[in-house]
Amino acid sequence: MTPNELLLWLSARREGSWQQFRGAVQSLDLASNNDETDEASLPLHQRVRFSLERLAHVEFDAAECENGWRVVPPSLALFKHERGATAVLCGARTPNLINRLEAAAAGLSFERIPQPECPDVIKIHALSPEPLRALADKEKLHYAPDASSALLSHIPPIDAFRGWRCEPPPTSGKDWNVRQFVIQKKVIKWRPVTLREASAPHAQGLFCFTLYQRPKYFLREGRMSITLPGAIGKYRILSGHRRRVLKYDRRERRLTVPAILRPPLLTERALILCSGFPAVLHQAADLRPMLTYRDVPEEIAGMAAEVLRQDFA
Amino acid sequence: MKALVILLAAAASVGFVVWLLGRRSRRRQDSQRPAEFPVSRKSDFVSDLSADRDALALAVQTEQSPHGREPPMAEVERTFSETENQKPLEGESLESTTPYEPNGRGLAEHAPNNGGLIAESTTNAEMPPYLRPENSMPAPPFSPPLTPEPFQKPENVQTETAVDEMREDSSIEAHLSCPDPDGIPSVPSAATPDVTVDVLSGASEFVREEVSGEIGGELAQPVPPIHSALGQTIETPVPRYRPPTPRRPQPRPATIQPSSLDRASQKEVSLEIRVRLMLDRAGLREIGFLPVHTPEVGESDVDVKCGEASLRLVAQEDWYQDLQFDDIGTRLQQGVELRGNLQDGRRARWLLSGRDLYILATHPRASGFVSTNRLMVGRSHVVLCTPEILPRVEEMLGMSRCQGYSRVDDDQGVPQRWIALRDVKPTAAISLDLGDNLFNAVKPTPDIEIELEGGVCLRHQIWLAGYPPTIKLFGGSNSAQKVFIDGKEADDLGDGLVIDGYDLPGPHTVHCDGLPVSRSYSVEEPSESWDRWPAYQFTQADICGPLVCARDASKVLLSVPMTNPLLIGAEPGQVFRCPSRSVSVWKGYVPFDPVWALPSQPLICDKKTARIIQLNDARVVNKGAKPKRTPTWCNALLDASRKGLSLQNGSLEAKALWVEYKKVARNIRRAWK
Repeated sequence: MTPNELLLWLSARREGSWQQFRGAVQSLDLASNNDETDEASLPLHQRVRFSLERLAHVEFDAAECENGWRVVPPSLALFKHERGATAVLCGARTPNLINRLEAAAAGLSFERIPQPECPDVIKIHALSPEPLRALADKEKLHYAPDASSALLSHIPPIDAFRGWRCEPPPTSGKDWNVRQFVIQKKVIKWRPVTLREASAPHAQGLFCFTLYQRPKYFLREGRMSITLPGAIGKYRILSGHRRRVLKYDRRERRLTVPAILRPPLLTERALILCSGFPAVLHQAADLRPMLTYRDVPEEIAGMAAEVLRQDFA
Repeated sequence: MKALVILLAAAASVGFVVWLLGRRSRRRQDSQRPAEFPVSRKSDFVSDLSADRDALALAVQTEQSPHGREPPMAEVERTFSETENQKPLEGESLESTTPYEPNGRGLAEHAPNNGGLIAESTTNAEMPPYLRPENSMPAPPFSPPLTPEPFQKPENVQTETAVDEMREDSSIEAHLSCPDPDGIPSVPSAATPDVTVDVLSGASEFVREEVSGEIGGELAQPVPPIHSALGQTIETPVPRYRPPTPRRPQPRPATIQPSSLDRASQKEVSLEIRVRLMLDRAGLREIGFLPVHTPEVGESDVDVKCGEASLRLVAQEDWYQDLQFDDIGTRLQQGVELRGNLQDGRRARWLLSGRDLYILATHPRASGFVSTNRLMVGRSHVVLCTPEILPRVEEMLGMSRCQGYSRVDDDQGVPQRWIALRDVKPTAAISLDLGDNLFNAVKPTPDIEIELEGGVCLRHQIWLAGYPPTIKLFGGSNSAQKVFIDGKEADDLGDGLVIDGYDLPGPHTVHCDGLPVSRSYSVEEPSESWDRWPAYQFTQADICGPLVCARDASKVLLSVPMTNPLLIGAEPGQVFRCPSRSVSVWKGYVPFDPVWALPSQPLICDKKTARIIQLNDARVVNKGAKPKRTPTWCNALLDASRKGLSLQNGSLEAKALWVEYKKVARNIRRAWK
């Protein structure tokens, strides 16, 4: 089974348990990647899961699919650019739907671009948004005009604590692998610490407690200890240190971040929907692994920076 | 004469007394005659006692019924097995186990021992074959009674026969005797007071109620001996007869037997571990163990012990997450055992027995090659073996005409002390040796199998339309074998068997001509209606994939130059300041439809470059707004006017509109002052 077939399988099944997803991924035959991000050590099913999630095809462990997955309804996510407008096909797919779209897009530019470890990116170009909207209506697809802006405008910034659960970190257990997110001059890394250090009353910062490959992040600020996604915790620490990590190339319209600082899910989804392509991993001049999002308009980059409480370096 | 009359009367009296005494003596002897209680009943009673039952109900089972019939063979066998029950006080209720009406002969009457019981019962022509004497297993000797000695004595066994007989004459008293568990002979004595019970109509129900509790329910407790003698004085308080109270039919009480689920929960679940390896051009990319996961063990993860190490098996649909070991070569040879407890408390064990030879083939539910039983003709395999047995393995592969396979050794990723042979594709079958022979695994059998591979299998035997399975035939001389799909002879295209329409939605069948080998599958067209749902719920919007459903639909998405972040609406008081960003264009949602975009600080901006940007041509609304709520709105407009900023759009309409806004702002300011 290929990633394309996996998405077809997920679409036909619509929703399911995490075990079912893992079982389906088990039959994927993908070469091991050389990713050097935090995800380098992740097993295949996690890498595929994140790809599907970022590309807005499937939601995992969200509302109405707790501890499982549910496929997003087929949607055209639109973004405008100087050459017109482009729609990216997100969500569920069926062989018939793809065939129909391809046929209906006659006169428009239909592109199907293979990607590693994720389904093909399907894009349709037009000189204006109207034909794309008409196509969506005709094929009964959901339509998301300016999807990136809409996403970034409605997600809370990283310093909004509402919704995160207050919970003290674990204080016992021999199998915990505990690390602390540290920023030392130019170095940003995870440093191993002991369980005692991490759970000490005076401990401050972001800690990652991992048990059986399942990380759990605790942000300790003052007397407060909250659990939250690791990416949000990292950017909150960065914000506290006033560290700028986002780089935006206005001419190339590329937004670059260190690979260790991959943006939170919905922020990253918004950046990906500017082009339809996932971030490219590469090495910077100082050999640090970096992630680059392409075709990101300046205003979208600005919105992402605002959500992440960042400014461009 | 008078004296004669007196003498005659006296003689008559004496004679009457003598006759009366004689009659009474006969009745007493009759009542104590053991022949009233067939000896066979003791065995019945004893065997049934082993089931912790109502004593009188048991008696019903063994009484001589004038209209009784032979117990069914199944019941005979069950009784036999119950006699063997080593847990005498555990069992089902009598009613549930012996629904037949008893006849007069007890089990021991049928035969002196249990083995003979079955033999004698074979006279029944309808006896199932498994119960016939020639098929009967050697029977164990008759089990000794599992009850105290006194229970076996017929005189100590009271049956309901007597009670039922007495129903005919309600004036007759019944004797109830209960055995002495301590072995005290059951003879009337002062220490064992007699109990006399008046038996009236419905006495049997009364007796059942009153006595069964003592005998059946408290059998383990010393039971006070109860004896009776007709006409004897009641020495202990006898409960008065109570007529049976009409009762509603009660549901059968829950049985003490553990349910099948409970029984299942006590079992240990045994599952296997498969070996999986992935190959690439360079050799072996990955090798690990795949513990099998079934619905029986639940969907949760399991913490297991592998020797001294603790592991967590992360559940998937058909497998647990594969396990990788540094010393996998050793484990392949010595085997792997994982033990743990499932969520419901059952123990679980996963086992891979150690061996020197593994056959691996593709699997529909896992990528790479997964260990299987043996080679199959026509299929591509990987053979993993130790160097010691490699010559013999290759000899077998030669016999099965495997050609073109290649070796992969430890330089190419294979565990040390192991060698992998890839692309092993036998073309001829070899007959298997009898017995347990390791090399049978490398001998392909001539069995023909239909395999459905590839495609997108949605579940079980259902494939997605457009992605049907590849139908392949393995084993035997498959080139000559005719295969039919949906009744039409299939064509072999090299990579699978096909007919026209084999991939159309609907059910399909595949079968081999003249052989009892068939498979079925169906192709399904997926539904194309999907619902949108709020996967992420925030205060401002719900998000699902790229779709955003804003709670406030009145917000407007806007792009303005970062030089003019102060947005003014048509209604006095509508002011929005765009957050500062290091970009030239600000984009975002604004809670109203802005008309003007002004510099952030109109009074201190550069007049030469700063401009007033008109965003739409809406006229001022609600001119009489309360001044206290609108200072920022008024100040921004008046400051921009005072600074003398020019409009970016220099049209007459724009200027007129700007003048109108200025006037309103000035009026509000004046009202405020």
